[in-house]
Amino acid sequence: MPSGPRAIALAVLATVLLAPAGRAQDQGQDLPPTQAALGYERQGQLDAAAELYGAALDQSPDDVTALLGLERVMRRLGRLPAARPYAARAVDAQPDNEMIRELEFRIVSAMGEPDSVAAVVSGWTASLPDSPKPYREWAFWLAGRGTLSEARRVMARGQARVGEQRLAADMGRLLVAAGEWPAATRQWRLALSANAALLPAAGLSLERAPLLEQEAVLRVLYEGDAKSAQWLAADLLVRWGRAEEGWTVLDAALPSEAAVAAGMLRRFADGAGQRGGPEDLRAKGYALERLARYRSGADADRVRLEAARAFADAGELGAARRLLDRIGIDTSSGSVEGSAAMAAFVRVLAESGRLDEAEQRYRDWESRLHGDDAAQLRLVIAWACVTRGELDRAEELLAGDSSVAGLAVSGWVALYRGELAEARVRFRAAGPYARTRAEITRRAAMLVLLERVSADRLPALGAALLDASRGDTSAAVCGLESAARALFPRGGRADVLAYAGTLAASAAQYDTAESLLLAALTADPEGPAAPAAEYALAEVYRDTGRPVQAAEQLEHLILGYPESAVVPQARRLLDQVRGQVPRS
Amino acid sequence: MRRREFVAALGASLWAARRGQAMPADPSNRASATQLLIPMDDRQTNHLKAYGVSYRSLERGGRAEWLLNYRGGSFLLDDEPGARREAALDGVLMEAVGHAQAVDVRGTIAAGNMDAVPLEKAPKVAVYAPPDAAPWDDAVTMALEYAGIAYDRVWDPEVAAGQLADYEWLHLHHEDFTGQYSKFFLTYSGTAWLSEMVRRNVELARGLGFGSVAELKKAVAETIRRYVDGGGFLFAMCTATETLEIALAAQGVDVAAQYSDGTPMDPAASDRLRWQRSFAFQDAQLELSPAVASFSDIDGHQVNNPARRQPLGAFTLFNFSAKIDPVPTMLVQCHRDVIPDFYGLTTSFSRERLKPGVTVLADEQGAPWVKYIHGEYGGGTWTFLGGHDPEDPQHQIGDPPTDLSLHPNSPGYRLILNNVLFPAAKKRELKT
Repeated sequence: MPSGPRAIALAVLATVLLAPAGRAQDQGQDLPPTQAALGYERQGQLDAAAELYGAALDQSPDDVTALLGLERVMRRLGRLPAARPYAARAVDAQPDNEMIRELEFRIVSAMGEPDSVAAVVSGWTASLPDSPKPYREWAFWLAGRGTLSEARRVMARGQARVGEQRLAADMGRLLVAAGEWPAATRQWRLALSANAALLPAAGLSLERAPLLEQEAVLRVLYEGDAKSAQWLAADLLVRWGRAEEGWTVLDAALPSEAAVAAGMLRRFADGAGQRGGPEDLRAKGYALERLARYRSGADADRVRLEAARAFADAGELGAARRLLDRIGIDTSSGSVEGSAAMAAFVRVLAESGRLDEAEQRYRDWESRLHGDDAAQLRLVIAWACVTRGELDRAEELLAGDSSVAGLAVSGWVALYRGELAEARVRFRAAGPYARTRAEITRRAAMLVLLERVSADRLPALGAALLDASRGDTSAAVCGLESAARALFPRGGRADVLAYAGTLAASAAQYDTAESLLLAALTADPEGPAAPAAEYALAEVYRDTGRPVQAAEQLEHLILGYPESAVVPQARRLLDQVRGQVPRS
Repeated sequence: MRRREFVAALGASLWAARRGQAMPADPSNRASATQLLIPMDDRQTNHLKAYGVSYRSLERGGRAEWLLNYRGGSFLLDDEPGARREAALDGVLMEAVGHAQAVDVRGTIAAGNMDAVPLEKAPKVAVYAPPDAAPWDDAVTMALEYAGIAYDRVWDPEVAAGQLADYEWLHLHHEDFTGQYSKFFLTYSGTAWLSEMVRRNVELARGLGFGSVAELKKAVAETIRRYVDGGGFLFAMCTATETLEIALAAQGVDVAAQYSDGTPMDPAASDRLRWQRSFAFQDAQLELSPAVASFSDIDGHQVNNPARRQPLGAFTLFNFSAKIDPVPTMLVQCHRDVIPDFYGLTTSFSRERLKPGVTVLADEQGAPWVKYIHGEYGGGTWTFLGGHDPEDPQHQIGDPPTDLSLHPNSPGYRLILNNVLFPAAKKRELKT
């Protein structure tokens, strides 16, 4: 049976749902008073509803539905105190009914009179001495009024009467509100020892522990060898961004019961995955790899595949490959599920650098893959080809693909070949929504650069940009500088030099960056690339310990280009180099 | 300008006001084609830096007026290239105002609960803080740095050497004038930052000839009291408010725990305090436990006292009569009337501990505490604002510093900066 507020809510819901619809017009004629009152209440005739609820309670003082209705209506009318005598009569009629007791408490506590509330609780505890509810309700009411110490006294009294464990979670919450983290942890630990299902609530409550208290919280959880406490420690470590440490704790404390262990591993993996940093994703991979041991067949392979993806996303390609080698994909069924598994498998292969194998698998399974899966995979493999500089192979895969995502990838192929006009056309056609957010931003920035370059074809520029995309910054910077020479000063030279300068700065090649950015500003001092170049130059000055020059450059930028989109970030950087805000 | 001086300077502006002249009768002013209005309502793009632009304009010898309650407490500056340039650099919204528009503005001010207060000179600002403290753990130094308002740091040796007299404005933040290291001694025992703080303070106390840090801090508090008495402006936040008052009331009484001065606190200390020496509070009961990071029952919120800790609400700024009470009106200029509260070691001030005559500038409606108070003492004034950092309401030791470039319109920080410009005002000394 549900209990407490939930039970009350269910009772209300049931009453409302069961109330006959369409009788609103003739309520009060043939209906029982409670149902007629409900009709009035739904019509907003609250006075009439209150009268009928009252009549129902006159007939039957312990009618919980009527008492609930009366409380609801009186609260809306601002006359809740008038419901109090009805509540008192209901209690007299059924002193052991916890729902009525709870309602009486709610009505009396809303009036804000501590003595009356204490009297209600006293009656409640006398009739139901084993119930933790009166203490819980009273303590949280007191806490809500800002008297935490009183609240704690009440809760402690409740713990002494009905058992410490039964109110431990509630006491934990109060202690968290009081900022007493180790004491709160002890209470949550006690609560968990009786009911492991409280783990998410405990984690949520203790998650807010400040940095300096976190070790104290963990020390309490590591005392003794209670596994539930260690599960909580693992959960908290994930929430605090220490997922790998959390995995070590969980790994050593996994329960022997397979179903429970599996549930815990899934929860841990999901928690770590939500944070999404490399450490989190590694921990997610470990947890899923372990979870696969509790599964069998295709189910286990799916989990391994998920683990492999987590490792691949964390940059742990070795671990990803290790898992992929253990996966046996069912390629025969042609089901949606089978197609998704095959697609995920190929994706991980491609993203972890096993391009040949990925393409081979793709070609083997292409006919059995569902349409969307096949198209997505083609793009993934094509993109992997592009990043390796295998442009012909990428183009072959993309042949006939007229989707916006396909156009976006083929735009990069054209760009890296130096076919600038074609790249412009394809990028424009791909629009602003194809592929990931990061790539959309990168593509938009590249399109802006291409629009300023007057040439339609410039293989040197394409090759340099390909070097940049593959992480060879030195070659890219040299190539860009060389390509820029082939352009007019205002026909893209300044823009390409500024781009090269920014790239060099990102690789900490500050001397090169400075000379390229200055060259860009010399080539076209007032062109569209100038604000961004000035900003990048200011960053170089800052990073090389020249704050005065950085400030001068930024002031020039802000005053010279007040409408530029770069100005807000320039102001922020100016604050930093002047020492007016902490450097983030 | 020290308070006595601008009381003496009252005559001219009061005379002008009585004759109905809203502006000083200055021919060069009449000839001026435009002025620059810095609106401080919701249209302003960077409220905090607007204070710096106005302050630096004064520093350059420009004239300025503070238009109390006009568009959120705007500033009207001489139109000079420096102000325009700085506003552009800082992203401060500024409007050129021609002569006809200026007349309209003055008409609006004359007709409503507003006033135009001339700002005379940029006050010289001192912040009492250890020499090696970063500015990022002190809301006022953060506000001053961000707004670009110059200040000097003074510490015990400078105070002992009488250098406070060089400044119009003194700010105190979370210094513990009871000499108990904010009562973190037991909780944070062994941490490097606390060990360093203790070492530095003990060495300094010995160097200056005091037997303990507690004795040194009492002497510093007394010097600050004399500074205010002599016409200085004092603004304090967080723990400095409460502990300064306790230190002033505790001359001759041991209010420091044993870990601080080697002797236990006088168990009857609360009864022996002499509150007639303090600025704002009276009859407080001291917290006797050295393990509880709370000093007395002056603070309404008791953030570090689990049994008495109160939740944060919001505080409301009072609406004063600008023409009759210009000083409190200046101190509450803001584009928001209700501001979310923020904790500090001292968050708020219990109403029942306030001395009669203290002006409450902001309080939490219905709560037994107030947030922001002001008063006169001798020839000077003091202003206390509870809490540590208006944009980090639950600040904890070790939290990353607040970056004010992310809060350029912070109403809480505006209250701090109101206090910086307030000593610049050439005000009519009237009070209800």
